[in-house]
Amino acid sequence: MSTRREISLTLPSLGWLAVFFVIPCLLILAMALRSSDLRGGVGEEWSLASVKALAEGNYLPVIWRTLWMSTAVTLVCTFLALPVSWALARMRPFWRQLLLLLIIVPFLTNFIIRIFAWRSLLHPEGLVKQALVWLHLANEDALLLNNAGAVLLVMVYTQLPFAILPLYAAAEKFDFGLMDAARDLGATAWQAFRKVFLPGVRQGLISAMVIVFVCSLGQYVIPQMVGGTGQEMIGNKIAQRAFADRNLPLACALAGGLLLAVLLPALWVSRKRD
Amino acid sequence: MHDFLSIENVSKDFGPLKAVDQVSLQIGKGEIFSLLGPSGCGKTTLLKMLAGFEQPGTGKIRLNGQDITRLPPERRPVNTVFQNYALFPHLTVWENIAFGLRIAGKPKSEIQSSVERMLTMIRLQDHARKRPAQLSGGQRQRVAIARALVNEPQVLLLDEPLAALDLKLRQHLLAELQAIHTQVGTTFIYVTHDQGEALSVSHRIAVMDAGKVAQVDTPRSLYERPANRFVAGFIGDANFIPAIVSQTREAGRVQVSVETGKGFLMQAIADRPVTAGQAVQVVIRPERLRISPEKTSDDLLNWLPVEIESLTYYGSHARVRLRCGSLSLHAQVQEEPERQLTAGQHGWACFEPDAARVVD
Repeated sequence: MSTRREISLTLPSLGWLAVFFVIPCLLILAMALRSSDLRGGVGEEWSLASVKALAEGNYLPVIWRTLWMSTAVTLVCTFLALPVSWALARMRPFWRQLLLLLIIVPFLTNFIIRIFAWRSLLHPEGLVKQALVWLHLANEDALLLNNAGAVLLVMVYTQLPFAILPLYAAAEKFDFGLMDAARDLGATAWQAFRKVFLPGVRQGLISAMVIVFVCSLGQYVIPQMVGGTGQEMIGNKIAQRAFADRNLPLACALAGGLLLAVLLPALWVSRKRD
Repeated sequence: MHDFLSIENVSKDFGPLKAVDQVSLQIGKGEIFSLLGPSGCGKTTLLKMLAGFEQPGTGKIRLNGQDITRLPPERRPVNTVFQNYALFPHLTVWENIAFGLRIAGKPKSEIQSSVERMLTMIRLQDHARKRPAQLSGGQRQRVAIARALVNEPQVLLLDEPLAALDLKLRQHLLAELQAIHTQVGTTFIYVTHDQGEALSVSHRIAVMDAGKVAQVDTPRSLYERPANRFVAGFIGDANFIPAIVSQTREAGRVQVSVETGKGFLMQAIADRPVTAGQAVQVVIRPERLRISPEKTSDDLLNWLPVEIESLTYYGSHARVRLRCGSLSLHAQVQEEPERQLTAGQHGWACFEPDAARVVD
């Protein structure tokens, strides 16, 4: 295939990426370098004020919490999604279709409403709390809401399907005969899982982890609704700067920092893999 | 001598289906033993029970005197060459072969030398760093054999190892498999539905039908002295002639009367005891039938008056369809240019008594 033909074939997707991804990213980065005015507008002149403000605003603990929370969500989701995707891939088609449907159905309900449902479940008078007390797994004073655990739980709940679906797609293509071969060669079930299944679904595993991690990084609704005041993530800060303070350049500086913090390591890793 | 691997009254049901039904087999050390039968005869289920992937419902499997019936696959000194090879796609040829040794925690130097030895045996030294996807079907098959044999199993199970390959390659790899067997001397259990493969590679064959063993014998005995109609039909070509035993003589020689409506008498051999009046089938291999225009006075032969219905030429031989009353036969004959057979011609089919075997 000639180079010209190749270019013309990739042009539509390149154009799509440029319009919906590259240009918005560049706009955000550019806006971070503008000055802000008190009326919530964006000034005409270039300024490093917003970038410098990143160092002052006590963002470091928030960034730290964002990173560990996203990492925890990613690990828990992957850990839970692996057996689910395994089971889905081995199931009879009827049950598989049914289960996939059940995994996807919650998306048909509004996101905010589902978080509210969790609020009432975790509420001191809520169903989950009452059940745990009844089972003697928690005492009356325990708080299930407005802490890091609640944020983790609800974030895992919302992100889990995004981990299951790519992993299931990979597991479905996996040849489970290879597990028999590993067992035949002396591997225990666990060794076969680790040495044959995990490498076999590697691409799905990477996709699942990247999707969950990136989506978690930008979360701000969940920390705000079930995390109380002490669980803010970087998304909350960006939302506050943009909606409450009307300081778009500072919001953009924060968003741009987050973008680079994700993009640069990702680029570095993919460079190394080639 | 045939008690190295012993399968004792093993049965396995899948719901109402008796996949394996009261099978007992004794397999000797160093033997190439084939399980041969059509698909669904239970040979693969039996192999899975030997490998440890299925548990027998009843019965025992002993290896070298030790009961291995309930051992999980990873704890059996048995390795398998899978039908689709099941090579690990994320590992190189070298790593695939080393897999079992690494799991067993063998020292690095030993793994190195064992893998190199296997690579030399299968002549793929130059492909050690390739992935399975970069190999041809025949090469993958050899890697699968090396990956199993490197663990020095007491028994190597081969599950239709050549089914995915074309005919030319199959013949080549059969010879290679025999060479490998000579070199390592491991007991091979070879599962196939292809009678040609089984006949050429095996020391002994168990022919299976509907979960049961129909006959266990050497390839030659199976072909020449089939125990029943199923074995005779499954291995090679055969004519079946319904007959009634009219007289039994010494050494298995019997006289039967052929049910063609003409009441023909025929001399045949029965390998199992039969009694006069018993309804039996007489098996005659097509290549044992000769066709002659005139009946000679040779009374040691059986003679049947026949009409040639059709003739198909194959170069090295010709196949002839014959009719004798209501009976239809086929013969495989060498073409003799000076005496060409033609359709519609009347003549005689003759055969030695020992070409006619009585089966149930």
